[in-house]
Amino acid sequence: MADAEAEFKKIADERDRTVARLKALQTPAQRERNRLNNKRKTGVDLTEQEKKDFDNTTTVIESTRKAIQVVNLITIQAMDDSDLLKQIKSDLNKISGDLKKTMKKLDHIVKIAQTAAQVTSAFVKIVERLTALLAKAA
Amino acid sequence: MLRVHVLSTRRTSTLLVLLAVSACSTSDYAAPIAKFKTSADAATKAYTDMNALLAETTLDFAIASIVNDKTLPKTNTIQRIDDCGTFTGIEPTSLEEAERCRTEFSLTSQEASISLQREDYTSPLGNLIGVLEATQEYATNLAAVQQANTTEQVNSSIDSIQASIAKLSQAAAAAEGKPPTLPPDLPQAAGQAVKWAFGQYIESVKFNALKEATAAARDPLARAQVAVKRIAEVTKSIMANELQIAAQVADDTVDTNSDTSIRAMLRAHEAYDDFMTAPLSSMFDNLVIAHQALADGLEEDSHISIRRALEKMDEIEAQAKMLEKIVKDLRAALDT
Repeated sequence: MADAEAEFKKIADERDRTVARLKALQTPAQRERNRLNNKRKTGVDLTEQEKKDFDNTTTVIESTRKAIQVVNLITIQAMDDSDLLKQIKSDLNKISGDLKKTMKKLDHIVKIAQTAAQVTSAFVKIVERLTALLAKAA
Repeated sequence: MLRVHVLSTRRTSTLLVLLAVSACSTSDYAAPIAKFKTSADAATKAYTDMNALLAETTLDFAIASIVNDKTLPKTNTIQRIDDCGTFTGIEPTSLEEAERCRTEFSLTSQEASISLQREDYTSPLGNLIGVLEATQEYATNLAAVQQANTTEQVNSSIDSIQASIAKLSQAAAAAEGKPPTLPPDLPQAAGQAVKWAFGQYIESVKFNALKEATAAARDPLARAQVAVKRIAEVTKSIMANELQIAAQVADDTVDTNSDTSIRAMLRAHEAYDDFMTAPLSSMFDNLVIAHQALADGLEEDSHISIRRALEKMDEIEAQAKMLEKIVKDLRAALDT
């Protein structure tokens, strides 16, 4: 159980480390691109160098974004396929199984009461018949 | 001669006292257990919708990676991984042995490579949904035990026994030509006592089952809480990709001389911002907290815990609605 949790944590930690590294590449590029875009929004044209910077930052952002997406998809595959989820599911199913057993036990209690009722009724019928026979004989 | 044996008053009293000690009522837990079930249903539905949306996002990303890859030969590829041409029609004994016809995406980035197969872009969170369905099934079984109408069914059988005992007494007396040996109200009184005793026994069976089940489910649900939180974080990051791109495109193309263009940019930014700040895992957090309060309540027979459980489950309903809206908004963003 502890192994499964450790395995899951390792997957998550590995992802966090990789994404943090990629984010460190992406954030300054994104900041610079936003600055250039904000300048453009004031109606001022970008210089040739700024246009080049804009394109370069776009390339960095797109490639890191794609890399983050791939890392995330690998992580989801690993997390969803982890032993931890399988164990949790199995544990919950076992508890459900125990509750189903309780339902059977409760059904059994009803059956006992019903059987007692049926036996008593049948017994009463026999006594009634006997009574009628005895009355006839008398 | 036929004799009808009735429990002596002393024996009956002892039995009743013993049973009264062991029995606790499950009716106090009807509301939180029923609500736990509806909350588990709501959570399962919300995460199932999320799974479908993640599948859609994954497929969009995979296809876009192929389409936008202008290298020759392409770095990102789509390939058939089975020969697909030899299907004999024989029913497979397992999916592993089955003849298949599948397509695989191979995507490469600066950091890593990934193969995406059918389940990755149709149901990427299949096992997580399995955990939620197991939680839902557990909640259903808890509710079934709590709501079991065993006492009513047993009472109806006891009524039938009572009537038989009265008849038996009359028949036995008639056979001897004597008046009935049992006072006319004795079978009814005995029946009431048996009903009460059965009722207490049934309640103790139900109460103990609920108490044991909720105690046992504490640990797997606590572990599920951690897993759901981490999976929700990664899922959110994947799904945010499209909104991030949409926000960037809107920023790049905004015409600051156009009212429509500025509003379109704001919508794109707000959709991305809303998604980033939306709590995807808190619904399951609340489900687990509510369950803990329910388990505490059953363990201590505490009304405070029951109230806490009910409060948390009210939050789940609101969060389920919010998640439904997020999924809807995101799907709309993906479709544009």
